[in-house]
Amino acid sequence: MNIIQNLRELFLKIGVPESIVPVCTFALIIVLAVGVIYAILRLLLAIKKINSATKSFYLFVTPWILGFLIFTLGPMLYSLYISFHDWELVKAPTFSGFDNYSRMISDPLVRKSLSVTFTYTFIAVPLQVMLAFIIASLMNMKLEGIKIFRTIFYLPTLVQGVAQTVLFIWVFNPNVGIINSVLRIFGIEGPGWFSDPNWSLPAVIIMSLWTVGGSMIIYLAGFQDISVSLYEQASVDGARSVHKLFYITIPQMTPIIFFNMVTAMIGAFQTFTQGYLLGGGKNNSLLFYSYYLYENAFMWFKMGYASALAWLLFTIILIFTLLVFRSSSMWVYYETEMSGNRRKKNEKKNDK
Amino acid sequence: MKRALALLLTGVFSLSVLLTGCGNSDNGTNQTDASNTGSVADSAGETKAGDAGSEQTTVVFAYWGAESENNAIKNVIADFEANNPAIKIEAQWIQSDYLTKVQVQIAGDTAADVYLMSASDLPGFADNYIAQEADTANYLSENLIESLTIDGELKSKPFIVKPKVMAINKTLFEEKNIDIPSLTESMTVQEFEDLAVQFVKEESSPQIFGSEPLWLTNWIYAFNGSYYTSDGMASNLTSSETIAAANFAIRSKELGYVPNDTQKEGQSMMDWFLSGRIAMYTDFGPWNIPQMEEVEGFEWELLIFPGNGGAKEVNGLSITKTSRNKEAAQIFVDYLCESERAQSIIGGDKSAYGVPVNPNVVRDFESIYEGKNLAAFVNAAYNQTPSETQKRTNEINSIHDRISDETLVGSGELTPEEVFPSIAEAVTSIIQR
Repeated sequence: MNIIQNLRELFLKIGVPESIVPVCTFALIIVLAVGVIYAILRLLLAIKKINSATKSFYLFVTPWILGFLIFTLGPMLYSLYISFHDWELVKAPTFSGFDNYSRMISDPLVRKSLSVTFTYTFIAVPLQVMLAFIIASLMNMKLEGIKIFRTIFYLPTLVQGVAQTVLFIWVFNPNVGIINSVLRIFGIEGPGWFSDPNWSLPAVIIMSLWTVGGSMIIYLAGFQDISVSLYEQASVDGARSVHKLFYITIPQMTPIIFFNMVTAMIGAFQTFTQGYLLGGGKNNSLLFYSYYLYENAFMWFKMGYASALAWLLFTIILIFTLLVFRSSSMWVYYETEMSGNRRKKNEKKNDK
Repeated sequence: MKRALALLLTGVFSLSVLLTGCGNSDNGTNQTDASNTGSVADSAGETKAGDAGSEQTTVVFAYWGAESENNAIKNVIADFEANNPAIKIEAQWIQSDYLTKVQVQIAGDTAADVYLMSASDLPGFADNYIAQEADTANYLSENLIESLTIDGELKSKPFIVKPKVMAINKTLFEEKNIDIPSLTESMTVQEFEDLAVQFVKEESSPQIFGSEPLWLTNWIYAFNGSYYTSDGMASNLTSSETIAAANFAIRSKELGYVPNDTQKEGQSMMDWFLSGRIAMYTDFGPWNIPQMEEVEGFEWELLIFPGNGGAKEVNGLSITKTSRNKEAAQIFVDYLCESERAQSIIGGDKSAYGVPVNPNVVRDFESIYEGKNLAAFVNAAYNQTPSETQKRTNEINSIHDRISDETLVGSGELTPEEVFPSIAEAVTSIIQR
């Protein structure tokens, strides 16, 4: 039974142009799926298992559920299935049990790629968070023309991915790049950057600071949200700027710092473009985990092993995200709600 | 009433889904069985489709290449269609990530009927192609057919050859009062080194070099070495010839006649040659010929690659096992590979697509640029070693990257004698997996 193939042939038979047959097939499948769900909901409503509000809810949320099942959960489950197989893509998969997972343990390139990725994540993310915070605090100053500077600092965010990497290949060129040219003015012979395995990862970390403008905007919005009365009261109590920064600004901003840290960390673990465009760097110095996964899947035809690598990456990101969430109760301060621990402590005090 | 309506709706929709899934799977009108077309073979190797009364068959042909090469392919397709009106060729020009897209097409059951394949990439895909037959008398040399034979079966019919020659800047030779080497005999590797050193001019601005950085693969073959043993079952990286080639590449940097890693970073060596900064460009393929029109300010010529020659790339045409139009596809492949007319169109095209595999039309390739020694390419097509092939080429190449990363051949600090044994061991384990 091949529903999609038969639908395609049906559309061709009735004269639909071949170029739009895939779109029509997909649209018809979605319409049929929604129709089946609607019919089931009507049946449940008719036999009074659900009420009208529930029926409407599920009807409106059906497109999202279908999209999630088809494009997210479905492929995830299939990749989990494939991770227990050997599959060269051009042949049928063959079951291999836990071979792919045990191979990961002894694969030196897995360790190397994890080392590169972890190093990048735990250096670049804190730097990005701090730099975006500092720039946002400067952009928050009430000065004439500050909006121009906000725009200037945000503009690099529009040049990301491939364009950014190609640009920085030239910026870091050891012969004609601007970095080494400026260093030469001061009598310093710059490193080889991307052509030197010891300097290529630092170069990528520096490159990642180019796009802190996006985080800066979010911090800027957070600064606007801090009540001025807090600063006024602190001034009355004799607090200096440093005190205001550490005791008012940063605590008030911790929810936004938390959000930016989590999203930056997840993004950093999935870094791919720089590794891909630089071919993994000299001596695998830029062998990011996602790039190594891509090599296994699409260059070496090892789709089963690549699927296993993908699940390892998912697990790593999940663990670290949970760790950050778990730690948030210790350092993230919400103005409107108290964190769970503080609430419990206060409840215990009140009980006593 | 409502319950009945709801039940009816559920049933109708479920039934429609089931019916579409369980419907018959007759082919559409666009791709009929190729046996309906019929074909007639004539004495010149041309085949023609049946009469105009037959339904037209579409053969999907996927290939890679630059835009000029795409135009050359389109010309030969147009000629084929004019002579075979019952067969229409749907050209799929894949401009990037060719192998990835072929993989995905095969896995997604949307494979083309005919694929252009390089001999070095063929082993990974060979199981998906049908076996073909070829008469060696129709080809330049037997090794073209051997290079596309996997496990005793010809999985891709030779179509075009892309060998390597050496381009020289004649003006730099004349400035140094150095005689132009023979156009018909290859120089030895030592003669090449002795020549290259004479061109080093550190005080000049911009600096002149004897050669671009040597590409190790070409020089391994020049030294009569190889990446793999003759049976293809193990790495041959530890052979004396291969290590001698690596040391030759290291010496080129020590003698200063090639740019070092810092100098060449981000630079196009072909641009350097075109601007007159390199005396001898050794990794010169047919695809570089159209670029020579940009040359200003110096005369150039082509010479045979030194020593035993570099690596030649053999490209062939493969027919997928899942093709529903195998007979029409075979007619098309036979036309492109064995018809003198087709080989003349593709080989004599100004894009310099490559040296035709048909020995009767190599003159058409040589005449692309009158007055230039394109016979060097033809000589290489006959005599050079085809690039060696392995099933897991990409994975093995990632191991071979250690040569550049860890040894003095590239940016490393160790000698080939120290590193090559471990690389050979890793490669052998992949081959024998």
